[in-house]
Amino acid sequence: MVCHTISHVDQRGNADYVLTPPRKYVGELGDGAAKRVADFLIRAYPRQHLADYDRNILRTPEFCGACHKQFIPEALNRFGVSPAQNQFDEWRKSHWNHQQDPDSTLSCRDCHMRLVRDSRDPGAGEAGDLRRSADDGAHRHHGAIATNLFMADVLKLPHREEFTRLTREWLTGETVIPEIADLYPKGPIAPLEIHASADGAVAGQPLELQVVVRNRKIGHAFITGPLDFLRVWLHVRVTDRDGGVLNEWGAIDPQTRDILDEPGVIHQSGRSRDSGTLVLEGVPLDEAGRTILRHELWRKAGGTGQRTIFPGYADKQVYRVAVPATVRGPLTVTAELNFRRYRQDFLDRVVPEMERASGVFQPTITLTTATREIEVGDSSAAAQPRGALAP
Amino acid sequence: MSRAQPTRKLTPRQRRLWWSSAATVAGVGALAALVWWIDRARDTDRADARAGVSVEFARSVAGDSPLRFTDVAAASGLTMRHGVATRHRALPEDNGSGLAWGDYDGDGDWDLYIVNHSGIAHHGARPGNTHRLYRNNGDGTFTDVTVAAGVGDPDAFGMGATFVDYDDDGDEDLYVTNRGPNRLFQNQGDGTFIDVAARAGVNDPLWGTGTAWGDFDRDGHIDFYLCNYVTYDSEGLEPTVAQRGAGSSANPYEAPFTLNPNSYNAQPNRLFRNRGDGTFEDVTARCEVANPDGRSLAATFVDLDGDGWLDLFVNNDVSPNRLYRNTGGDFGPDEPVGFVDLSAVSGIADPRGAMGLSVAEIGDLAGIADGLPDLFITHWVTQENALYFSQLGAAGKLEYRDKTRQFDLGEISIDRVGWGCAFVDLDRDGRVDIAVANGSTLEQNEDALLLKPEPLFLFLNTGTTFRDVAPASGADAARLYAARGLAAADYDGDGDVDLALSCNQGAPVLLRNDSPTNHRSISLRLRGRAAFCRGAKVEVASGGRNQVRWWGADVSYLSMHAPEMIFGLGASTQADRIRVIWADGAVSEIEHVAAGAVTLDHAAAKPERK
Repeated sequence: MVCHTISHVDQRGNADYVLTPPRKYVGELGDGAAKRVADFLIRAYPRQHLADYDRNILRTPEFCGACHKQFIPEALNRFGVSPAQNQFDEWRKSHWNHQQDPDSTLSCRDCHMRLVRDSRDPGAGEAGDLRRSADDGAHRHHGAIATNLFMADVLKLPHREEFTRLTREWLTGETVIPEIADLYPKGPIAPLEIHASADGAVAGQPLELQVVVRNRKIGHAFITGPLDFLRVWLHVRVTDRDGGVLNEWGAIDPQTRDILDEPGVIHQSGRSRDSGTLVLEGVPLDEAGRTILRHELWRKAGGTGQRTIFPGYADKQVYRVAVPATVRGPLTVTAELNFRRYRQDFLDRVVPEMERASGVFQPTITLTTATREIEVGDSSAAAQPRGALAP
Repeated sequence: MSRAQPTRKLTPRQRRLWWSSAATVAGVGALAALVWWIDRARDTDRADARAGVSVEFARSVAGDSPLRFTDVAAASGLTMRHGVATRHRALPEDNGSGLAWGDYDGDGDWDLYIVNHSGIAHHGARPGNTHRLYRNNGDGTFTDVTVAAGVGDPDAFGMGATFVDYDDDGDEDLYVTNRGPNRLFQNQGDGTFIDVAARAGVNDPLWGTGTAWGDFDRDGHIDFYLCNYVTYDSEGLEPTVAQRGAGSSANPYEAPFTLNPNSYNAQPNRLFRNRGDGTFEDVTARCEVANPDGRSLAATFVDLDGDGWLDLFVNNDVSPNRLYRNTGGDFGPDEPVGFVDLSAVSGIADPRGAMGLSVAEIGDLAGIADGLPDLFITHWVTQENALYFSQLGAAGKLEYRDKTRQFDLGEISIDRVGWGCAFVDLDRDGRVDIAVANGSTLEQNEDALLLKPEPLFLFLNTGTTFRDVAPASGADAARLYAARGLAAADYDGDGDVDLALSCNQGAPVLLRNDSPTNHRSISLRLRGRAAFCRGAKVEVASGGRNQVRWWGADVSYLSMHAPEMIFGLGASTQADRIRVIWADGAVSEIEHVAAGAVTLDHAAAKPERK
């Protein structure tokens, strides 16, 4: 309800908004019969209710940006502006936003607040909203479907099954939004490409693979939000003809449920570039240079290891496979792009009993999968010049 | 079977009642219809949704400007073009190159060296571009002397350049960083140069970018720190001419991973100690300043904490910046100089995409004029620039406060990709302003082979905040550029600061300062060994204000400002005092200095008091 009382926002973010209290209907704050009277009046004469709660400013991306643009100010951390999440400007400067061409623009509500058709809501219909009309018989979905599919289950929220289903579909790119289907691509939100030498692998020789991750359908950086605990990572496996695993990066440790850079090596946040697997993340530092592990971002004085992908852009990671001399080909490379809402270490530190007590363990969602077969030549080919990496 | 109902006649009273009831119903109905119609007419759904949206940052743009700039590059003979005609969508090309002012021929005016490259080799025929050295003719024009000087280097993939007299023979040598072996062009004193990089041990083969020059160990010889960027291992994998436009669900916009610096491993930096015999020793490991996880683009040697020893600040792209404190003063003359990483504890371990770096004291704006260097750093789009004010804590702990937003430099820079920058007094009013070269690395929606050009920033210091006056400072200052390098110099000797820009896939820009003003200035040069000049602290007191800058510490992006400082005097006609604390601790001080050119010689300075 607070969102709906916002009447004025400033583009500077950090909750820079003005709340204007709505005028009350008779009995609106009461209960029992008084509340029923208020409900009747609101449905019978919704004009004032709409004027107070359905302000046109709610249609603007700046409205969302009032909160989805954050920095840690000097009053909190002593050091001054320390950038935090800023989905608003990431979207505003992306190819999804065409300032002079609203028809080609997709903004926050188009994706995260899709239309619900055949609505019985008195507020259905919106004459001034692009791609809508006053009598379209629809209202906007207020689930703000994005990535948060875990806490609904933990808290046993009403309609959680539906919420979780929608979120899973959203993350795996299965969601189709009819009103923007002509602008919003189908398929995975972040497709993968596996590049390898066009000449294939050579038994006994190292093989270099490049896995490319693209931010294809996300309107802001991928990932975005609290980078200290959101996690997206590549799980890459290389197997021989018999299914034997030659190399693996990005698996989950069965004991700790941490991400493994390699078997037995737990991923250290912020070190995804140097070795191991690609992990999209960020690491906030406090004034002593220590990693902030419990999301106390008011202590943030700096950061490291930040790796995200701007809309439309791509990132890549190199994987080097030790191909045995006795390997039986072809090799199969499988790359999965996985998502978790929380860094496991964060949950273990902050709410150590939550998963066990609720009986809900945070899921790992595979956003995208790609596979590639690579032929293996014998070592006599090793002296030949190697071809360029090819998709 | 129906039965006919008998007709019943209404009494007059009943008839009146019926009619009045019908009229009442009709009246209520008409009233309801009127209310409905008025309500519909009042429907505010179509009202401007943005009426409640404000953009307070807009106030940092000024409607008028005391500045006027005119692009005189072509007219003055700077006619080269940078890079390749068609982009290959490759990070090395899009990062661009810089430019450097220096007096290579010792005639007293500023010559210009513009760095160039011929694009990614893998894509076939290259245009054979060369760097260019333009000799200042002293009359507002330049002559291309590249071939005669021998500094064209057509095979190089050039990035940055610095004029510096590394061998103390009295003329300016030239160090050029490349994506590949760097060059040290030794000035032969006759207008020609010879590359001695291999012999001097400074032909580092990595992707060199910015350099920081300073005598960090105070042995009297100029040393330098070399920034290296990333291992670009995608040569030939760049998508060719696939042009994709946004707006189609079947064919959405896709930028290649070859434009993302995060796709590549960082390269370690180098610290080279000058042995004094024309060669350098790589002391990186001993001094622990390799910064192996930093994608470094710029660095400066400057005494950040005021202890007399040059500290090192490193700008890193999408990896945290570094502050290495020089501990040389802590352990006595027999101990080797060491560096301590204070990045996080000082508040500058910032992982944004840092490009350009400028240094000056601007603490008076925030009421904390501590005489220590403050920092301005340009960033990538959506990340806003940073303005760090130094602050010494009670225990002598050095910290920085980012006051970008407080001084209206934040929101306005979110839209741009900032590169070269300079703390300069553009209107000679005695307050230091900021110039920023912008140019997006985002591709145009309509044609992915083109990058989005952007306007400059000319932030005028009003005494309480900054205002961008570029849009009102003449057509050439308001134009859009794919700018990268920025180097300031009074190239025409008229006492004000002119700005040179290098532009990707374009001609250089020389913005001559034609601002109408009665303000006078001091044009200060230092004479002495590079080891004494680089990092020297210069204070100019005038009109009740004390301006403080550090010689050679403002390194921009892959560029070098002219080694001459222009201090505006505002309404004054003289400086009350000029004080220079040379990098070796010696002090020069003169008083009541009339506006105009001033040269201070290290030989006449008072030695440091021990």
